Amino acid sequence: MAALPPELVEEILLRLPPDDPASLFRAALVCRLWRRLASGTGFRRRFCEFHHHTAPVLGVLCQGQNHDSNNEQDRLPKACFFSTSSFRPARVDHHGCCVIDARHGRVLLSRVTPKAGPWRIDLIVWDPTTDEQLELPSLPIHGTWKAAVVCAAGSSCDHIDCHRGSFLVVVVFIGIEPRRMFTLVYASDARAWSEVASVERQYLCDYFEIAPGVLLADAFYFLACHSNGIVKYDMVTRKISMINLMICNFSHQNNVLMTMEDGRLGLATMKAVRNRCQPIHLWSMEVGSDTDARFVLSGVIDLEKLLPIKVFEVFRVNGFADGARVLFISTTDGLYSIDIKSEQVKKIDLNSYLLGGNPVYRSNALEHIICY
Amino acid sequence: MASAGSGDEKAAAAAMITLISSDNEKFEVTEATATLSQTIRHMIEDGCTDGGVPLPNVTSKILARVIEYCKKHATAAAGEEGSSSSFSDAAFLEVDRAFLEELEEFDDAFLEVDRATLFDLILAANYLDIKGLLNLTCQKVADSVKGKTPEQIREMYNIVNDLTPEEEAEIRRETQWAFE
Repeated sequence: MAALPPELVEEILLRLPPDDPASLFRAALVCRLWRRLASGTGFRRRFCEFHHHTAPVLGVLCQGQNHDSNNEQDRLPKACFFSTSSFRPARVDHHGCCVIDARHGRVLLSRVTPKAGPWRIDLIVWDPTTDEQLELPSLPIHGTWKAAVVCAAGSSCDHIDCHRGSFLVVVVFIGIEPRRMFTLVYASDARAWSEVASVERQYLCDYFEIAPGVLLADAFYFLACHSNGIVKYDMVTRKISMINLMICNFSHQNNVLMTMEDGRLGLATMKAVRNRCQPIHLWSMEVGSDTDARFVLSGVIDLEKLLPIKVFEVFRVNGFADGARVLFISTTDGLYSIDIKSEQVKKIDLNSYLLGGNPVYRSNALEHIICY
Repeated sequence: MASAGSGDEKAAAAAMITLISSDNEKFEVTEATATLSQTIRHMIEDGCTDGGVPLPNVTSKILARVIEYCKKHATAAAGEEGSSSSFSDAAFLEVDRAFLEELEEFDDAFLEVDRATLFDLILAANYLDIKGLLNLTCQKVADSVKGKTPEQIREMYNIVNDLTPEEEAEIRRETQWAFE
């Protein structure tokens, strides 16, 4: 390769696959020139541009729990990272932790220890690439809550390799007493929580659905109970609001919020039926009112046709990966991902021993490009 | 024959370009083939191709391969343009798919060369500014590096390891997971 000038060696390094970050790191060990090219500041930007700013799914975070164990410690939930790429984090499991969210190269966990009691929230932000983790100051619980982690730069960042930068953690509460809905935000720069938005609560719903929220144009959306509404927190205007779902047949189904290809908010819904693989319906939110949301059917995924014959039941839709546009579903044969566009189905290799032997009930994808 | 030629033949003859390799071999190619190279396209636009285009950086062996690539891809591009009006949409898509498949097969076979030739093709594609060929050849090298250890990569491409043991240890420490 000595015969090629540096700019052409870079052309080669740019073409290494982003879903195999180990290749890039091994290339950096070949010689000085390769290391200098792979670690150059401009390289990172060009690598992202070359791969159309699409971050691959590095892995999936799942949560397991062994309810049957006699040991109290074993009965605690456990958050585990399952790699779907060549990336391997320094540690794969967090004992006594629940998976809350994963975004922009960071993972948000909450510690559940018997001593902590049910009245406070202990959140941890973990960077699987560097294995750094930050325990945030405890929060008292004000009611039902949902949280998310996000790069602090907002939409001015392409979120491809920003995991070392500043971040925000957003916690949305639906308060019981006093009856109000509000948001607390932790800023890594200020190292403190602050209350940024509050609104009197006139709504019926009292808790959030289990699936993670989605980020769409600097606003977070979380699905409220029985899908009666969507709680929106706008990070630019710092306002919290409730969007009413105008179609009531979403309730009593398993629903996951997603983003559609045209930039709208979407919803994946499935009716779980015993011993059946029911289809997933994809809905797209109609543009219009900010308080009432109408969804129109935009696609149907026929799981019966796509899944291998050994899968005889789909339990639920677990989550959605924004960039890769894949849905995760848990089935009688473990966790599967479905590419919405190509309808390609992949089984995700979960070590059930690591999870504690129980089916996965929540999964978040970690999407990121890692450069040296 | 030349004097009795039709207007079309004359136009085609007028659009021939002579490329001269570093070892002084001459290649006659159509303008459509030659202009896949941005470098030659600019020379034609500037009107400085009379008497042939000297390419002192490209040997006849490599130039012959580059021309082979350009001929195939120029035909494909012309085929795509021409077929859109004379076929129905479905038929057009069918032809299009067949074209692409054939082109892909051609590219695969084209890349079956030794490593020295592959590097010469990269250099030529860069010098002549042929985007498709540069992408194809660089991707081939990237694919061959994928999944290999640093030692294997050095061996494949005759690269001398000039990293000090300390530098090597530092990289490995920072990104330990990549080397398991």
